[in-house]
Amino acid sequence: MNENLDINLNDVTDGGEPPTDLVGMVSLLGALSDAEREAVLPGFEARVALLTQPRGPASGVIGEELSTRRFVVHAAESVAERTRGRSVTGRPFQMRMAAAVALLGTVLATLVATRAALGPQVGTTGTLAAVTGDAAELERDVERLLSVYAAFDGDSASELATIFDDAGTLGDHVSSRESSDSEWLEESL
Amino acid sequence: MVGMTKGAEQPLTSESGFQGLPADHLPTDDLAPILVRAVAGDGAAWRTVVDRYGRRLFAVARSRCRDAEVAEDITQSVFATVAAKLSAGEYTEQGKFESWLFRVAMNRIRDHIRRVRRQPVAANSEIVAEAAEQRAVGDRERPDETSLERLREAVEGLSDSDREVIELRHHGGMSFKKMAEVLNEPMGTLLARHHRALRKLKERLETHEPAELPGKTGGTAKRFVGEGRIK
Repeated sequence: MNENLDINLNDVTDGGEPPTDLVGMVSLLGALSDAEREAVLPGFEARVALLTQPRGPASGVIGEELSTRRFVVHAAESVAERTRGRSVTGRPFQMRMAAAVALLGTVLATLVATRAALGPQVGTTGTLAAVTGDAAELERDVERLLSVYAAFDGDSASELATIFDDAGTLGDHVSSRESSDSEWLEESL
Repeated sequence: MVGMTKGAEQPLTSESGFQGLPADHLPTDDLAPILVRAVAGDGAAWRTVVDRYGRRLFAVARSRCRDAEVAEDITQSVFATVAAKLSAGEYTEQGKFESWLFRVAMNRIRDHIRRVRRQPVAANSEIVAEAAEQRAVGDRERPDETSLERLREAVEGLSDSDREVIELRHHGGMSFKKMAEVLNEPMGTLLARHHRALRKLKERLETHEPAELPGKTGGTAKRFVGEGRIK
């Protein structure tokens, strides 16, 4: 083994002939190299040459097209060069911006979720209708209740019927305006 | 502008029948005038440069990333960088164009590997499927794809420094002299490393059990390695 290595070391150009027992290995690597080179996609050389040609005196449409393509390639290259190998900690401004955007998104999401959760509990529409005495809106509420009522039966249905009756009574009070809301509430209680 | 002080590069086209021999063994011509014409906008001259080095760069890149499209992207990136620097007059041809080109390529490949290592590894089945798709064709006797796949795996198992020597020498077709310029190491060191890497590959292929590659029929690589049958 050492003798073979000495032979290789004496040849400063290409390493000389490989040791006898490694000839097969070298041949197999040659076959692998051929396979790797043949793995190129169709039109490889033409495509690479077209996209990377150095700038020169352009002429005609083809020249302009080449310049445009080169610009794209060089721009991508430039971006890659600028961003390659930089650590995240080396970009405090970008980090701050990303953190600010993430924080803003979180706040917005929280607000939206809170409003969605509180909406049904507050019952904004019904309350406003009762205060303002808008009979038409009360009727719409009743219709909604009826549509919900149709989907239930048994205990739930009877409760809904009671609610429906109360709503009807409230509607009558509002329409006749014979008593204030507080009086109606006292009667109901 | 590209200087013309010296040019001793060798032509290498995809039809040259090149089989892993270093470029120094191939016929010679003068590269400097070709580069001058290419920088001046001569598309044919630039195509000559790409024909000469494109597939060698591609083979080195593909050996490392196992993906033809990524290897082509890397190759394009290398040529784009070189073209930009040539146009900017940042290179003077002094017979070291090939070394410069491959140095750019190795840096680009190392960058790619660093990025990939931070990401999940592709499923082995995908690699095997791609290897099957890339089945080589040729009119000379060649080991089957299974054998080549085993050799690829053995090469992958080498240390980075050993692997670079194998890939530059065989896939890149470089002489040890050029490799020493690319890797910035003494030629004797590279010769010894190459010799050691060949032995490791041989040992790994000879001790490789067929059961380690499910669904494949093995034995061809060992036969080729042991008998030195190829060409």
